[in-house]
Amino acid sequence: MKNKVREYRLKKGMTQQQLADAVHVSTRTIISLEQGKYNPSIMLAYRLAVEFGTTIEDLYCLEENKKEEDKRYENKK
Amino acid sequence: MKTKNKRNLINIILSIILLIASSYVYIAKGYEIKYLISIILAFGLVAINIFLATKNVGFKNISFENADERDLYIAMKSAQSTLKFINDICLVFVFSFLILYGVTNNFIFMVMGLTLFALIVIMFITLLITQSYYEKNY
Repeated sequence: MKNKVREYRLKKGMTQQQLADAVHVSTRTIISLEQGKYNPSIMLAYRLAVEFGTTIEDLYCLEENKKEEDKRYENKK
Repeated sequence: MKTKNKRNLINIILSIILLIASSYVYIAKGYEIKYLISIILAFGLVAINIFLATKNVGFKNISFENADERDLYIAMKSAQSTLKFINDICLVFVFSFLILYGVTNNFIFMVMGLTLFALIVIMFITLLITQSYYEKNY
């Protein structure tokens, strides 16, 4: 899923290790999140959003991702 | 030294029973090397169980102590893939043994094939039971 985790992390001047420590996960998880390979739980997404001072909707581009998912669903029909 | 839960205590008792049984068979069957190996393995099991009981951890807690949610997800996905892989391998061997039985008429192939088939059935039943448990509880 497309997200802005890397963008926000760099804006805040944090390393992946610092972010991982702040939200209580491993750096591998942060790498995977930034690459969009792993979708976090609601609580982890919330922790990240709080850490960056934003909302889950903004951090995870939920509006945009929803449209893309709907489009894929329509194409499958 | 103090054990901290019932489960660990039961594990220790069961492994000690296994050790005693292995020792009995070793003495009764005439000091064969294979029974000596089973005694050594049973002794190792007792030692591990005592160690785990004093630390108050089980095997599953050791690996998941420092795991985050992605580690648990990866563990779940790899367990699923492993189960599928073992199931497929067993099926291939079941059919191979049945064909070999048809060709050679050697009963040992039938026994091996049926044993593997029983394993597949047990895995399937276990899967159904665990799925129904998690459906109800999660």
